[in-house]
Amino acid sequence: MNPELETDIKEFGLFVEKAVRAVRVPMQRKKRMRDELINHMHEVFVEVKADSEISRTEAISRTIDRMGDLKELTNEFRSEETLYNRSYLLLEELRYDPAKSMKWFLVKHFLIGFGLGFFVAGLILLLVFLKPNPLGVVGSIYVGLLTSVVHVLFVVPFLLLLDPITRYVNNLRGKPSRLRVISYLFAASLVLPSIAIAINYQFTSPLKFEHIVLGLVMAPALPLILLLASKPAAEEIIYCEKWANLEID
Amino acid sequence: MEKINGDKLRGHLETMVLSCLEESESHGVEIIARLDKAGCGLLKLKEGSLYPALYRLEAAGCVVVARLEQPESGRGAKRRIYKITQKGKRQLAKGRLEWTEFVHTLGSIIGAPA
Repeated sequence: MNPELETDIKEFGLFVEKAVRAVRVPMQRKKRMRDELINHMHEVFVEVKADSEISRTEAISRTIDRMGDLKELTNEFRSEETLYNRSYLLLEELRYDPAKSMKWFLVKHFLIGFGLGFFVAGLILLLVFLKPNPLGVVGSIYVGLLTSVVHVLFVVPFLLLLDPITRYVNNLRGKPSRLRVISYLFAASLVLPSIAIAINYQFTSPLKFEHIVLGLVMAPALPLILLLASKPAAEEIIYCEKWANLEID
Repeated sequence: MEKINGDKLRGHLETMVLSCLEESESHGVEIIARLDKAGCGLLKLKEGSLYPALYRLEAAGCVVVARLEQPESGRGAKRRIYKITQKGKRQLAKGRLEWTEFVHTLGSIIGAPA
């Protein structure tokens, strides 16, 4: 990064972060607020510095003064805390944050998994009730259960493994050891085959050879998805950590 | 003449921004510069408040981000160029009417000797 810009971020970043951190909106929305405020402050700073023969410190102080009262600005940004933004933020909070409790993450996702299962089963049962179909009551409960299992066995491992794999691949702070990453990828490679075999076994007992082949073909899928997702995830980790590391209190 | 500060401008900022954008599409710093010029340097805006106002206008469908543009300095994130919409133009006309009525009403009270 341009060293001059880095200096600006340090000087104006505190102001921006104080105004924005408490606002409960999704990350992309917050990024827009930060970007626009920082850009604005930089341009004002250049203008102030060019117009008067004042020191750099004085120019920074005048730039900050022109932005107005911090608390007022935060309150104005809070009008962005709409139902849509709050709901989106809830979705963002479903991700695994290594700084927070793993137990809470697992409990949350088990509850979501079973909630989803109940919802899907209920919906199908309702359809069965309205118009009987071959799936029947038992089939509806089975599909609901399957939804829960897919969430717990696929979504949870993906969210859990994305952070350490991203840190390792992109050489970020707190990256795990190579051995650990290999074991993570191996564990990830077992996820989809297990689901595929479980589904096929239930529907077409006994287990056939082609189901095992299907499982083996699907083995690299989750590790590949994780590796592909690690680049955009790294950009997000770097961005979030840069702002989170600013001590505003 | 005494400067007009942000508190006195409360409630009028959105209409002022729409009025600026009616002239042509623009980014935040330019909107402030235009308002400053139009107010002959007497407006003392809280510049940070411009962005929440732009977001409110955007949510109401009165402005849209027309495009992203790299700042002249070539530094930092791309800045957003805001553009007034048809709904924004209708809102501006309504705001102007309200302002005229406001000035007329207060003018007849404050302007006339008791």
